[in-house]
Amino acid sequence: MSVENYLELLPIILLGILFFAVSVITLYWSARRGQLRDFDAQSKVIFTDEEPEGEVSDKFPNKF
Amino acid sequence: MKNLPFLFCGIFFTLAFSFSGIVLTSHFQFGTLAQSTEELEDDGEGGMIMPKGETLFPRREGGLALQGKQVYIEMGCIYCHSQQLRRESYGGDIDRGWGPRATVARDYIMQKRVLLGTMRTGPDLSNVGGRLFGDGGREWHHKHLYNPQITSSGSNMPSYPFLYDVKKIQGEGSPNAIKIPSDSKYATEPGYEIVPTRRAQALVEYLLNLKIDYSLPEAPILE
Amino acid sequence: MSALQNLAPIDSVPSSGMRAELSEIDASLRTSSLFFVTSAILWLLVGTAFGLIAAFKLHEPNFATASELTTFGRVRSAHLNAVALGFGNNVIFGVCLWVLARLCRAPIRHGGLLLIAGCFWNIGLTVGIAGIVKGDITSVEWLEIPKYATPLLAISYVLIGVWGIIAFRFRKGDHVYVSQWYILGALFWFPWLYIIAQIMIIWVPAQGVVQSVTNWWFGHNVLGLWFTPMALGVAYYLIPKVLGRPIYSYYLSVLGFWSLALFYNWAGVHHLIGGPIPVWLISAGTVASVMMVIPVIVVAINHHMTVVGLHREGWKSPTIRFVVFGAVNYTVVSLIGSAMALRNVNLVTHFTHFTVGHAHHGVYCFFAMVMFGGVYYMMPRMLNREWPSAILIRTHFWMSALGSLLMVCALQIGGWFQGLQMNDAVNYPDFLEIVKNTRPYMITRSVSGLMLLVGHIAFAVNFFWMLFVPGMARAGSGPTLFDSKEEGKL
Repeated sequence: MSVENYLELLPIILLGILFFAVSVITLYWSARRGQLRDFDAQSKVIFTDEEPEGEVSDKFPNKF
Repeated sequence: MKNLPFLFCGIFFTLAFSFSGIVLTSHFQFGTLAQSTEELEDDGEGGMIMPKGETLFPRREGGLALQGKQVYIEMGCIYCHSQQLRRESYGGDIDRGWGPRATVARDYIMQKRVLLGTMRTGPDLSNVGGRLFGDGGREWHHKHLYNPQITSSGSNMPSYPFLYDVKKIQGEGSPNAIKIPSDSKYATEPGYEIVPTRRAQALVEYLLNLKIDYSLPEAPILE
Repeated sequence: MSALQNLAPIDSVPSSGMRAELSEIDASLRTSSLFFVTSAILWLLVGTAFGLIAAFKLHEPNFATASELTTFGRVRSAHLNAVALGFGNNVIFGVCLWVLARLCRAPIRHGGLLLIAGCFWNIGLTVGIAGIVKGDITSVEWLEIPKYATPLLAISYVLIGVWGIIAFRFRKGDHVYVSQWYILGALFWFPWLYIIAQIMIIWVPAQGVVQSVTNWWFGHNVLGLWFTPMALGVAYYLIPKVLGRPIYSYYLSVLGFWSLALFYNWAGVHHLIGGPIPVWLISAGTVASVMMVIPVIVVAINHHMTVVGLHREGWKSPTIRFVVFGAVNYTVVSLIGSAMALRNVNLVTHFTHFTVGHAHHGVYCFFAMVMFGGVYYMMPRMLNREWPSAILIRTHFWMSALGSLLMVCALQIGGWFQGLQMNDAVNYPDFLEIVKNTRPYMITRSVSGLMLLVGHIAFAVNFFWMLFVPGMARAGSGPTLFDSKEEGKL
């Protein structure tokens, strides 16, 4: 591939760098805001008092 | 990860990134290619230009062949046949005699609907016009489309009898009728002939016109 | 109850408030989910029938060739659209929106919007598939439906996406669970993909192979950014929920989600390896496809380690059987897929039945099986009735599991040999011989298709029986219904 073709890729390379920078900044920001802590509690939101943690909540029906 | 705007940004950006990188970049890089002569010549100032008066390739689509392409689309031929040739050292496409060279982006610029295909239940058709041509080719295609078992016993290609009319022979019969020996099990009853409809004629014309018989500066045919 | 309350999460709502919420949420979605699941099952039967016809044609080429309405190219495309857009999308609208609503902890708003969208969807799809059969097929893969039906589909998608965003916007509670990220992501991604692809390929066609690149950016993202995240969202909810144990490593799921979002987007070009497009683009697609190993391993750790130790308990749950079968196959099909993107492997598998097997591995063994599990879990809670027959559930499970695995093996073994032979012009100069060599595998695939049909019929019978036969058991109270002490039988 000649140099001309590579230059055509410059916009997407720049976009990629921008994207990477924005992602890093966003991750840092969300970590500071405390969104990336307390994963244990986050994983338990699916449980309710009806179907609490520790109980299997599905079985085959009793009928044939 | 609780914030809707933040989640939305990430979700949007990942899609925008791939769209820009794959689709937009493709458009900028090869979405404005034009036809070219087979070879370029030195203009004496260090650049390469197209010599004047030479034919431009790839050829424009048109005429009966273009109508035939519509039949190809309506029948879904693409789901068993590809129209792209991989390069010589990568796969058996060239070895198998399917074409003299690999196909490149410029080969498809004159096509309003590109039919690259991703299955080879049947052979690649980029250059089928180079393997089956003239009246012999026409005859083969009609027999093959009417009932593939006639030319290719054991094939799993479906038959397209609805593209043909079985008619009573009037006078000397139609000049377009498919010639099947009367003792063949695929022949019609005596007194009848199998005549291609206009759609079948168009489709075969399309197939006869599928050729990679020209070079391009970026993809020369090497002897 | 009281002993368990000590184990309940600190921020849980008092029991009566939570119960009212869950059943209130389930009730608010009842009409639309019932509509979607019923549509899904009907389309499943239609799609299976089209699939069987197409399968038979590949080893009995003169089957049903008298009329152009049943020619292979159209029947195969009708099959794809009926199972993917008919079954796949309807079951997503039925199950995933319910998972989203439950996790958003708020009764849903504008349920009517969902029903309108669903009607548009089914009308558009019916007109579209009839159009394919009639001959207006576009011959663009994954976009076969003709122009006159697609705007209705696009509007429907957009309505549903908007609904999802509204539901999320008015959620209660602080935590956003992983399933919600996946479902929201998919709801956002899909309408954009669809509209852009329709415009750039069908309505204002781009020049030359820019169409093909757009086509496979779109086509692969149907799998990677629509079907996959929806099924992952369901699996991430149901596996821990049914087993009563939280996801193994929740923080890993953050990595899993974003790496999927980043890499899957770029993988689509692997459909064009060796094709008439720039090498850098193909390389990018291969790299992204291999990097997909990261989110796949993350999901595998999370799903499979959550099940470890609870196998026997899980086996007793119809939902877990289907969902875990799906989750295991997600890992397998994705690793095979990453391998298929490597140039040396693609050299053999491209253009062969291997790819068809891979597609069915992903859409059926992973996506469909997870969704079946979702329906088995959701319907009793929504209707307050038990499934009428355990035998029909078992029939469905075994026929679907064994049938689909048989199909994948037949197509991938046959396809591998097909590819090797196609590349060997010296020993296999005659293309017809290669075609004939695939015949036994084509026949095996038809057999597997019949097995799937049996499974689907069992599913449909059980479902309509539960829906229409009066006097089915009504639950005592709340969403949990099953008191049987039945051991885990086959």
